[in-house]
Amino acid sequence: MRHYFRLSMKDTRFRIFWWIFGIASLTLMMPPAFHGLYPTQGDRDVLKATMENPAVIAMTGPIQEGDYTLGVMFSHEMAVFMAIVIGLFNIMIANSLSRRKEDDGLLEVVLSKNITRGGVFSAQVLLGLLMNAILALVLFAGLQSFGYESMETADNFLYAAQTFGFGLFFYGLTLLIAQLLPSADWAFGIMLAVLLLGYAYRAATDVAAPDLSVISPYNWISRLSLYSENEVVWLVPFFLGPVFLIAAWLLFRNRDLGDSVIRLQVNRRIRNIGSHLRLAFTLSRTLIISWLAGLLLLGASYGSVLGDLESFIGDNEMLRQMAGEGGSGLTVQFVGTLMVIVTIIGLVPPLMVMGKLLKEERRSHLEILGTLNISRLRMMGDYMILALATGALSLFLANAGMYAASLGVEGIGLTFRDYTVSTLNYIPAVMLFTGLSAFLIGLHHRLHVIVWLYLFYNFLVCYLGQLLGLDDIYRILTPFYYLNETPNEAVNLTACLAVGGVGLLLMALGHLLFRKRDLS
Amino acid sequence: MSVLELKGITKRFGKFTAVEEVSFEIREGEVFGFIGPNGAGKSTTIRAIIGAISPTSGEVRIHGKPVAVQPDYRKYIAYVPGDVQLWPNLTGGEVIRFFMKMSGNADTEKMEALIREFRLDPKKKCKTYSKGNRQKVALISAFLSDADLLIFDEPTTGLDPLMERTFHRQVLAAKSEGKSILLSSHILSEVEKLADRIAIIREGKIIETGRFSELKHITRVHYRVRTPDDLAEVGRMKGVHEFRQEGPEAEFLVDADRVKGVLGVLRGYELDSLETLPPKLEDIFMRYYDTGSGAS
Repeated sequence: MRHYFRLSMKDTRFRIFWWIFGIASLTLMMPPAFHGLYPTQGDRDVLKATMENPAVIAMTGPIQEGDYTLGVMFSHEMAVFMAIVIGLFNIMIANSLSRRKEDDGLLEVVLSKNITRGGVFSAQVLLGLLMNAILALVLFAGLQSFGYESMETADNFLYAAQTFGFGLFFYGLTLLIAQLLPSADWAFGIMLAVLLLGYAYRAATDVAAPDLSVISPYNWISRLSLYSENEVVWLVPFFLGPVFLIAAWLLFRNRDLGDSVIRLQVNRRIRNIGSHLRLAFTLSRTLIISWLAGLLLLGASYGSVLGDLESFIGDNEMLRQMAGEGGSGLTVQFVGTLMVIVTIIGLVPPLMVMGKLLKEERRSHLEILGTLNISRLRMMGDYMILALATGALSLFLANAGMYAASLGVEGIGLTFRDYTVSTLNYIPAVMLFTGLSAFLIGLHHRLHVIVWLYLFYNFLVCYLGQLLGLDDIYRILTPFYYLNETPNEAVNLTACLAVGGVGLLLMALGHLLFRKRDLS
Repeated sequence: MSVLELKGITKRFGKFTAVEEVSFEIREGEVFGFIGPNGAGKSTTIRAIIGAISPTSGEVRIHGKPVAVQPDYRKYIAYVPGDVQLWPNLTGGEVIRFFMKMSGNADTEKMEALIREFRLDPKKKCKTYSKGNRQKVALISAFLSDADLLIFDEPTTGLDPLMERTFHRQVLAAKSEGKSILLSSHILSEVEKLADRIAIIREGKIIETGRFSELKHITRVHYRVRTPDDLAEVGRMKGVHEFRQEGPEAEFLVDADRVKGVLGVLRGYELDSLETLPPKLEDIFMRYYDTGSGAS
């Protein structure tokens, strides 16, 4: 067991290190930033008044009663949001250590080498405990080091503890799902859906029916009342994490390797794959369809909030004045922000489709396809077509979902046409990201990660920038600085052409480079 | 006219030179063996031929024209990599049909015959296939294609002996149709059985090219003898290597060009049996290293 644990540790330590480093620095960046932006209680109370609306609640969870101290502000704006990242971290590591190793046939080799199943499983569990414990410790130590008045030792400890609990919850659930489903891809897909839909469900219920929200683990974080009441009792549901681990062990102990509790073997007719585009689509179909469904749901969950927002603004004299134009202005403005966020999330599936091209290269499929006289131009071009189509559909479905869910709300004054125009307005962003992706793939097979970092940067600047009131200067590097924020601004055609043009240019460059490049 | 011609192919990865000045040609209807140990540069050479990588210098010519001026030259090529990776979620049958579509072939009768002959279950998903079964999918697809140059990289490593025979039969059938075959391998006996000519690559350089019979001078023949006599005398002869005798059993290697003399001397002993074992690649290289370093 010790040896296998050490081996797994060596295999994953760099990934774990970067995740912990990223999560910790992102979290610990915030308290000083908030302190600088809102130094007095007065400042924070004003902020709280503007934040106490359904839109923000949908994004960050309900605001606690009482003073909006620095600690409360920090936990309210960061805890639920960072939980997504922590969840993703745990899902990816757990999946790579369990089902992925099994799919690759590595577990079989290991188990034949006098290492028992118990040894393998304890190594998996131990690594999960260890990495979450280290993350919690780093966060605790960091938060302690600030020494802010409203952030006492007990508060910081609870913050770190919920990080640990939430992480272990998803680590355990992933290990359990890994026993239930037949492949690592399935396990990852389902867990990603649980993570994102759990967030979307919490967003909708926090606004519309706060009692129902309790099903989502994200809501337990809100109910902990961090940095004020410290309702420790809400740590209890996180003990489901260890329960999942035990269930996973019971299943793992008794099943055949490569087998699963749920078998998804459907006997389909033979597909006739007659072109490379068709092949590319067949390979990325599951990914595309599930993301499109997810974006439709995300749009709908945001749209369902708009009604409450409307009535909220109607009640609040000050906000009505701020918004002007009979009160609907603020909703429209908010819709504009949502569309940016939805666009950024909608950029994920096209990048994943482009990533499939790299996966094809890594598995040396491109070599074989090359000898079938399929040109490099066609290989990359077909994935590009798929990526662009997926991106455009993502934006369209997210907007359509938002429109459909807000149909019952009166007075927003946005028509289906407005939503469609908005979709079109952001399609140049899809072109830019697809182009950057193609360019990087053309340059070298290891550089694609840059486009993901760039997307994450866009997300941070647009999402957190909204909450923090970040300077516009950070947005200069993103397309959203140039593209007008529809529907509360008219489409800026020049900007659309410029951003789309850069995208096209990058695509062309990507093609040229990819044609000449050695395959890995 | 040569179907494929390599002219001074060199490929460097940074400071590392994977292959250097590799040149050979393959003629129409010829089986060409390309042998060398692992890491000698066989796969790099093949990847340069199929255009997965571009050579640092040198030229690949297909049907007499450089590939640079015929971007669609790969329609003449069918390729089976050494470690065949297929799409895990497609069935073997789906992959074969896709390959056929891509090479414009619709001979389903021949497809079914080959699937039968290679005993493949085409309804299973590729991720459930063993290495040998994945190889069969790629081999069937290659034999189905209209390409006139078939390139096989270590084609039989995952196949059982029965399937190996099927493969050999198909290679000879393709040859009789006038196709050319590039057969890369580190197993000398396999290449010997099939190849008309061979090239030997070592540390990125071609060290020998020619007909197998012409290359005899660099090989050694491996003898195993049962005799009540003491053969120490033979062991001391020039051109005899690694002589061992334990009781009635003796084993030794003889330089191919010295076989005649050694057999003449052996005739003077009482022999219960005399076995000739197939030459191994290592034996060739041993000889090569010996002469290369001046020792014997």
